[in-house]
Amino acid sequence: MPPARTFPLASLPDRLAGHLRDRPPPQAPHDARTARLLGTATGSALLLCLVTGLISHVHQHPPSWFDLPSRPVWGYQVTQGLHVISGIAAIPLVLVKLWVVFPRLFAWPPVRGLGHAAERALIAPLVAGTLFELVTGLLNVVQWYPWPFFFPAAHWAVAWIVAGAALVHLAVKAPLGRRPRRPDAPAPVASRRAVLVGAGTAAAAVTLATAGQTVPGLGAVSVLAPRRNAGSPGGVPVNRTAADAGVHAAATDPGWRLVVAGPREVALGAADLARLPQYEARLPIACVEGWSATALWSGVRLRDVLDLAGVPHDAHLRLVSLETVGLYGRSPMAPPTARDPLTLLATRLDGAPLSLDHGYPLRLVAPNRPGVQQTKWLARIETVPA
Amino acid sequence: MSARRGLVVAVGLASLGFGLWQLGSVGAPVGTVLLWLAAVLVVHDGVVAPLAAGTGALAARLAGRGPRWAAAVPVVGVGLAVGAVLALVAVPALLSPGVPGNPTVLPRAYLGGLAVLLVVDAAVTAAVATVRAVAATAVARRSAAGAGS
Repeated sequence: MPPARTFPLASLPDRLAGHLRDRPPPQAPHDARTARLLGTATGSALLLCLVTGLISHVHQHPPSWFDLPSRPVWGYQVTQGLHVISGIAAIPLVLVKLWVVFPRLFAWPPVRGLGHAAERALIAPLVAGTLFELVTGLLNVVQWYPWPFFFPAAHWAVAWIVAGAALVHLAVKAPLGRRPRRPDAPAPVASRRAVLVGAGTAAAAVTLATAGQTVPGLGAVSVLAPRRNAGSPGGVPVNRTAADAGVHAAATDPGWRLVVAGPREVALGAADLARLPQYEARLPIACVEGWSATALWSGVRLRDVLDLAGVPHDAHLRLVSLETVGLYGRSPMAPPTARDPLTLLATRLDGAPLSLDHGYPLRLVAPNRPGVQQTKWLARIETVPA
Repeated sequence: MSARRGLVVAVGLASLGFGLWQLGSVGAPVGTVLLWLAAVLVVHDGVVAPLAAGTGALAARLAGRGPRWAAAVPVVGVGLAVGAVLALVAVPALLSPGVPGNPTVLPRAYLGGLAVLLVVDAAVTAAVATVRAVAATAVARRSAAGAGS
């Protein structure tokens, strides 16, 4: 009969004490190659997140020297969908990576010279910044802001801190995983295969559980997705309701007119718009929070309305909503989008008149454009200096 | 340090500096962002990482009990990790106050959804772990029989 085994946890204090008493091993029990492979996977996900985040930033803060193209139609839908997908997939990758290297935090001696000290000092901003980006991003996706700062600005600033700390980390660490394993190094806690399979499975699981908010066909599987097209009015979720925006009275006023300020200023009522040539387009509303919904929109072309007012083809525009509170009551537009034949001032969604929450009486729907700039409850279109 | 590596470090430090400078325009005192940066680090290093490290150490100990354990324990570890991450990603949806008056934000039954995912995770984990344990036992028995003949 084998001797009775002690419950492993019961011996934990003894083992901890023994660990502290003995001199810690020259190399912490982690496998540099596993850490490097995980680092590559994590870094790739975060790089994709950074690049797509920069694209979103350029959309929302267009530089004066570059006009964003209006195509492909699905451009922002794909890049911002990938931003949120790669960010969520990075959560398990980052956690497993940190799990594998966590013992290194207690390496002895803590500092082996100036370079090592600098590298270790940058681990704090790298880890804190990465976790900050993942946590704030995930909370933004569910529209929860339990902090006093402006989310996009903080998410943007910390992204540069993470990118910088990651570059330095990479420059210092890149050759490490190629170093042969020291024969006296303690065996790692888990096999490389188990660690990589675990990280990959967890990344796949959270992706499948959430990506349905933008990937067609995954709606039923993505039970943790913050948005769902099925069940939303017109199949399109709403970010800002008419009640939030305080536009109910102005939007339902029979005296409503769209003012187009150009060389020949015009004020168009609903009847005037109905007399213009009508067009239809299947266009996505693609939100910065990573969800998207493609629908059939109908209305008049923006370019036709601009021509009525004599607005020059190279004019940069500002679209102004009836919404006067909040940050997104107006949006900038560059000439490629303004002149795109798919850019509509929509009055109908899937054949039915727009609901108030979707922007009645008139909203913008343009290709390759963030949802926050698909201005609802339009009141005025004006030209601005480029 | 090679010139190329030096350049990467320089670009990295420049990016870091730019980020720190940009912290000045977040619409609130910089301290509020620093507090959040510190908080996520403390929660990870103080709670998440020790829990994960303890679970890993426990798993390694259990895996040492024999071939059956060595085959099944890593699978259970992966299953636990997947379940923990799914739960973590569900937390904001479960705890968020939501947006009053806008039912299209967080329209699903997230607790039920998470429960289904965890049940599936547990079932798949149990099935794979059992199959691997049985296979490992068979292999161990065969090699023992081979050694005895």
